[in-house]
Amino acid sequence: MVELSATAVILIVCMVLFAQLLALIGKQERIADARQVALRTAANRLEGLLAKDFAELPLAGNTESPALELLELLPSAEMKVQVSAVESAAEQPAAKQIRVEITWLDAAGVRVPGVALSAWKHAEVAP
Amino acid sequence: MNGRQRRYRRGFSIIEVTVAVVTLSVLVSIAAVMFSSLLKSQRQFTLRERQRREFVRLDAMLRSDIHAATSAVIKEPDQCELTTPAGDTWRYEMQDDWLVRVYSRDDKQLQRESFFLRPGSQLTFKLAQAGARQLVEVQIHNEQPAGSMQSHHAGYLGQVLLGGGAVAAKEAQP
Repeated sequence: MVELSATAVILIVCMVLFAQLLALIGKQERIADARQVALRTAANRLEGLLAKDFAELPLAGNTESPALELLELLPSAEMKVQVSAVESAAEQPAAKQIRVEITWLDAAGVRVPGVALSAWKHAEVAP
Repeated sequence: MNGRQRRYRRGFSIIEVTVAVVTLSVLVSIAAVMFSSLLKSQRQFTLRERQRREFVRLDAMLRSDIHAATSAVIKEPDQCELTTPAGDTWRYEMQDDWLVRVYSRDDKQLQRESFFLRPGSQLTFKLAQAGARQLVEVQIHNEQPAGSMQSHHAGYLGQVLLGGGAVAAKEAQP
C-alpha cells in the first residue's frame, strides 16, 4: 500500500510538472506570436497613413482599435497614432512624424510598451 | 540448517506480483501516452516556429519589393507581379505549399526564393485604393479543421504602400 501511494504521488507530481511545462511553452509561443502580429499591425497602419497626402495628415494623437487578428491574441491591445510636426532645416520641406505604438497588459496587469514604429512624411515641393 | 532457512524464506504472493504487474503496466501506459503527446507537441511547435520565421523573412522582402515597385498586377488571387519602369520584375505566386518569389530583370530570371507555408495555407493578394495611392494587401491564413487539437496560430496580413516613397508614388500614378 505504501509503495502504491508513493508511486501515485510521484506520478501525479510528474504529470503536474509536465502540464506546467506544456502551458509555459504555449504561453511563450503565444507571446512571440502576439509580438509579431503587433509589429505587422503597426507597420500596416503606418503604410496606410503614409499613403495620405502631407496636407491630409492631421496633427493629432488618438487611440484606435487594432486589427481583429491582434485582438484575438491580445484582447487588451491598444493602438496609439500620433502625428506631430517636426522642425526641418531651412532648405528642407516641412515634415511630420507619424508614430504608431501598440501596448498591451502583461500578466501582472501592467500596460507595457509593446511595439512602436515611426516614419517621417515630407511636404511635396513643386519643382 | 541452510536448506531449512531457504525453504521458509518469505517470497511474494500471487496477489503482490499481480498488483506490481498491474501498477507497472499502468505506469508504462501513462508514460507512453505522455511521451507520444510530447513528441506531437514538439512537432507542432517546430512547424509553427518555422512558419513564424518564414513570415518574418517574407514580410521584410515583400515590403522591400512593393516599396521599390511602381505597378502591381494581380493575375490570380494567389499570384502578383510587381514591376518597375527600369525593367525589374518580382513575381510572387503559390506553388504547392510554397510561396515562390522570382526576381527578373528584362525577362531574365536572376533570383528565385521560396517561403515555407503550412499545409493547407491560402494566399490572397488584393489591391486597395488609399487616396491617390494603392496598397497591396497580402493575406495568408490556415484554417484548422474542426475539432483540431492544434493551438491557435497567427496568420499573415501585410498591407504595403505601392511605390513606398513619394518619388515612386509619382511614377506610379498614370
